[in-house]
Amino acid sequence: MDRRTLLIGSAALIAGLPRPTAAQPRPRRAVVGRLSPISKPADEKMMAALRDGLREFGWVDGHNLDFVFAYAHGQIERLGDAAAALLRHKLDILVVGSTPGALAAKRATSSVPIVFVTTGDPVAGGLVDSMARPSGNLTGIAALGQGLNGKRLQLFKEMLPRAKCVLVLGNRASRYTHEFYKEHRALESLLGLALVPIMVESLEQIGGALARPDASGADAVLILPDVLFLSNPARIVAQTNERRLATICPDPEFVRHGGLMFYGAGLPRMYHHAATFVHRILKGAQPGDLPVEQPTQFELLVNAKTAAAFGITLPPSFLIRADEVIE
Amino acid sequence: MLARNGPLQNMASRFLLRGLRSAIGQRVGSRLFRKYALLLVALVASALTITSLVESYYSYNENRSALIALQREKAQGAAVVIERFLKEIEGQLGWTTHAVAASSAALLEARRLDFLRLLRQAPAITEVTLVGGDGREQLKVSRLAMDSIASGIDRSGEVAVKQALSRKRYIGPVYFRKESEPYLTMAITGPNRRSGVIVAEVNLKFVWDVVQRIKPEGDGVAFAVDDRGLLIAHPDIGLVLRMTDLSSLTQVKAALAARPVAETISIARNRAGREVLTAHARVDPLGWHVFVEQPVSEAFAPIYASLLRTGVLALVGLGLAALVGLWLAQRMVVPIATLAAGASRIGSGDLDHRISLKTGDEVELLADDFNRMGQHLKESYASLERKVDERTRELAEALEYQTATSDVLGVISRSPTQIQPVLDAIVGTAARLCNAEYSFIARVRDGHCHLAAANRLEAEHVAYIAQNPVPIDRYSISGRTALTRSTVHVADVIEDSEFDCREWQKVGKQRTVLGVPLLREGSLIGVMILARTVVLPFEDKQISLVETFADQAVIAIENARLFDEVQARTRELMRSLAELKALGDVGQAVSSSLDLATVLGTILRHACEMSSTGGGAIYVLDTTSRQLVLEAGHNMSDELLALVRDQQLDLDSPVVGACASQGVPVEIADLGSQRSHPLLSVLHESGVRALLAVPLVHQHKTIGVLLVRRMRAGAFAPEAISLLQAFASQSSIAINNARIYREIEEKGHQLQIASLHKSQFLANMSHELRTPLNAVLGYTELIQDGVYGEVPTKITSVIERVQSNGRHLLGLINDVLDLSKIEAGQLVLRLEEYSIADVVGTVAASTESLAREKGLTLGIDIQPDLPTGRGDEQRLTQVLLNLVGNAIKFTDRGSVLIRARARRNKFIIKVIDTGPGIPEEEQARIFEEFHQVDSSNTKQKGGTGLGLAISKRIAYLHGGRIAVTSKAGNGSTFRIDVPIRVEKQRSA
Repeated sequence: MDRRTLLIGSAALIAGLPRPTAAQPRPRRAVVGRLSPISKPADEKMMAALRDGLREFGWVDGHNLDFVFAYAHGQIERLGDAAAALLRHKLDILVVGSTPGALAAKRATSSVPIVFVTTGDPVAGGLVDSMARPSGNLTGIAALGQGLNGKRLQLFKEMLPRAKCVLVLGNRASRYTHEFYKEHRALESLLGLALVPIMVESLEQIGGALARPDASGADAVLILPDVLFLSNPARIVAQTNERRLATICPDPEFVRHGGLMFYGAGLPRMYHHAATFVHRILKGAQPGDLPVEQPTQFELLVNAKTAAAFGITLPPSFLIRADEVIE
Repeated sequence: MLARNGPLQNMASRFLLRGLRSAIGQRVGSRLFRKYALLLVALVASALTITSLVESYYSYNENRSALIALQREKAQGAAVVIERFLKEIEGQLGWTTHAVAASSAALLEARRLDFLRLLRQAPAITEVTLVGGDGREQLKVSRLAMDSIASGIDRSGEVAVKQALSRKRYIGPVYFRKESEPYLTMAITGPNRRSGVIVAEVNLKFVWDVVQRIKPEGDGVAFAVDDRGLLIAHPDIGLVLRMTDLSSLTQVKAALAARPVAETISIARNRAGREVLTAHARVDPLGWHVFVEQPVSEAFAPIYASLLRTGVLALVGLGLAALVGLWLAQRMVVPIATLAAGASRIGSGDLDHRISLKTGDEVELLADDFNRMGQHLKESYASLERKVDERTRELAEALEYQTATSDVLGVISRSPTQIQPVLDAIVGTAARLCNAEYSFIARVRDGHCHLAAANRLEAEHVAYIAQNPVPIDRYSISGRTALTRSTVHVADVIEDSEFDCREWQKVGKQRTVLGVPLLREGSLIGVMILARTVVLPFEDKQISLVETFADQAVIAIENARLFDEVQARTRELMRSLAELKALGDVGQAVSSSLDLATVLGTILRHACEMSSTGGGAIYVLDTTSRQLVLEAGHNMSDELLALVRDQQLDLDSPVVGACASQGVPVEIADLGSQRSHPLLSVLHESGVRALLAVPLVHQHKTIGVLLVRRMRAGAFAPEAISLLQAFASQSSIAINNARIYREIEEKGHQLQIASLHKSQFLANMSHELRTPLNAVLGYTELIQDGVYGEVPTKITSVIERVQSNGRHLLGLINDVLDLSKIEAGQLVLRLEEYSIADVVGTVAASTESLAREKGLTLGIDIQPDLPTGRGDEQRLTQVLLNLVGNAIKFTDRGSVLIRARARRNKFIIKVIDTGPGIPEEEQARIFEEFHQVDSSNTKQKGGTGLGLAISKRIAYLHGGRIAVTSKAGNGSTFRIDVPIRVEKQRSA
């Protein structure tokens, strides 16, 4: 060891610890793509929840993270183009809503990690191989919305035991709609309700569909969770209320706009939780290693004003259950 | 220094001072300084290091214990939370139990409300069921599924129900709903059996939250395992969902074995194999364990930082110690360095230098000692210098003498053959070294001393001595030296009573004279004299020097003598060598050439050269005419040659004739006195003065004469005569050789003609014999075929015999014809491309019937793809046919095999039979003409006895050969070797 090395070494020791002080290159901002199957205004609540969730992990929009958006406005056929448009950006991750949205994203890329939030069953929907080990570039949250339709009807029946007939509003283009109609006979006998399928292809058709002869005399309408309907809760509720149909809603937003009730895991809450996935994937985790999660908390929302308008008195059990009663 | 001080003194002082320097020299000063400095630094450093190490050790241990305690606390906290969580759920479940099972609808509704409240209060419970004492489901409330009332489903078989009924409480293992949701089933019973069982499905994500909330610093993790070691909570949910089994980790194993806390492992490896600091706590009553782990490197980072700080402090301490050590050492080393500098000055020769040190300690004493030593050294220098001067003078003188001696020796070696330069050098050097006025060397000859070399002697003196050789007597110093053969030293010749060369003394003016004899092995060869013109006796050293020079002079003289002798001998040897060479050349000419003229010419030339005669001639005796005929001449002009040829030389003629008739050398020393024969006159006229004739003798008979002539009169030396005799005998051999060769050549020619005649005769005869024989055979055949009518039976056998004998004779004649053609060189091979396989095939085809008749197997073994040959196919077929025919003929049972191979440009064809074999002594002879093995047997077999001879020659003409290997009784193998490509027939 020559004298110079010795001196420098000693100086370093005396000064304290030899720390690596070289300036590290400023990391590139993460780019998060958002493929929304619904419209921008309807999506705002989800995005707000996602941003909140991300902030808890230190990801701040515009600071170390940028969002790019694409909207399908409730039209499933536009999802493919929207996904392709998004992927023209150099995305680090893609957050996508609904099973059709996730499928479109999956078709568009096999390399960019995809985090989905869906109300359907991701395994049955063909998104992942298994809940515990999704494999591939997808993972996310199964919000169980589709599985709760029976529970919703039961809660409605409990609320209004005299109800006899409920219309079931579904999107003709959705697989889930048809799946539900396959099972609705069993539900009819279990609940003592007549269920009348009403299938539409666009929001514009809803008004006409509800006016159909076989829809007359119904007490309520069960709106199946679907991107078509989620896109415009206010308009749908306005139409059902106009027809004097109590609305069993697929999302809390409908209740806020005058729908009767909602039960399930609210999507904003799910998006808040989806931030966990985004964070872990941005930190290097493989999507295929992260199990698909399910909600643990379910909320029961009742619009007291609407209930009163329909002449419904809330039973005690309902009051025990309800998480929020909108006056 | 050598100039200033004496050399011995100088040497001694240098030696002494080198010792001093090695003790306390300058370099040693710095070494001491280093040593002191190191010692001081080492002392402080070791103290510092030991303190730091001890301090670090305890600090490390304490920190470690604190860390582990902290982690354990965290784990215990988590365990308590989990425990409380489960207890709480259990408590809430218990709150909904009633003493009596719900038997009416109202009661059930009340229970349902209870359950709804329960779900409200306990978010972790997803589903709660009431099972009646009879095991049937009475009520189910769920967050996900539809509620059911009084479904009556039989659930008595479920573990949870059974366990709860028997033990009041049941907590099941962790399981996953929809693959990814961790759950456990909890069941409790009411106060009695009739109150039924409440079964709750508890979502454990809440436990996960608890565990996840324990966030150790950095990369640390908290996780929980169940009583089997399966992971049930972990920040990485993926691991949990994969049902990761951690029971193999040492820390988990230890925890599951429920060892006391003190024994639990605190440092272990995690799943990834990384070393972690681990602590755990048990969750009662489930037997679960919560672990809190942190990578060791991370956990101990503060400790390491502290250690580093300690290390840095120690280093700073060391640095300070080093500075102090350097300063102290400097203080200690300065007086020693002064001492060393002083010693160095004394060492470099400054002996007056005094070291001034007032330290008052041992160093000052040492400095005083040095000063004293310097004084002593100075004194001893003076005496040493004196002695060295004396010695140097002596050595210089000795060196001068040595140089002179070696100079003289140099001169001797440079001129080994010339004596004068050596003697000149000796007298010159001797005079110079011994301070003599002059010196000289005289050689003893004829009883007088003759001047041989002189130095500084005036020309007149030299002339005087040269004219007056000094006699060997006592009256002169030279004479006396020669007489006594010993050194004579006269201090003053004038005072010497015997000295009687006054005249010479007047010339030479010598007073002190030294004489030394030159003796070779006791015999006197000269004297050496040194003279001074003043009276100053020579010193003993000078006398012995002169004696040495005298010896050297003897060596030089002796050298020159020996050289002359060697020269003479060499000349003699050269001559002998030349003679031998000439004889050798002649011998070679005789043996290498049969041309008589050339050989004799060579002999004559050498004879003339060696005997130094101008020319010569060789005459051969014609036995018939008894005349001597000129056969060869050397240096003879055409005129002389013509004259000599004209002369009829008979045995009566002088010189040549006399020599031939008497058989002894005859010489004429002076031709001028004898001119009895015209030839002699002719020779005399052409300037010849002496002649020598030497006889050429073969088998005691004279066959000619060798004559040499010389232009100078005088007798021939005996050695010249004997030399010429040697040449003469060579000549006679050559003449005889030529004669014998001529005779042999004639005989050979005659034989060749006779052989050709024989072959031609045979060829012609065979042809002449064949023609009538063919007629005989043809007619017999016609008779047999009945052309001339019925043949009587009696005659048939006779005709057959005629036919068979005739054919035999024809075969014989054909063979003889072939053989004679070959011998006459008339057989010409028709060289063309052929296939050896075809040859073998042809032969086999034509001999197969013969073999079959005798019951023999005829086999063929031909190597596949043999090359195409070139040769006379017909003749080769004949050869092979002959061999195979012989084989079949002489084999009575067994087989005959023809084998063909190609090896290195050759076809090798073997005919192998199992016949009687050929005895070894016969094998060479069977190829001779008209020869057959064992005549009694072959008589039965027939044959001409020419086949093999012809075959052998045909093979030979192809450049090949035929050989046989056989053993009597064991069959024979005939082998034909022929070149594959025969481009040219070999001459017979």
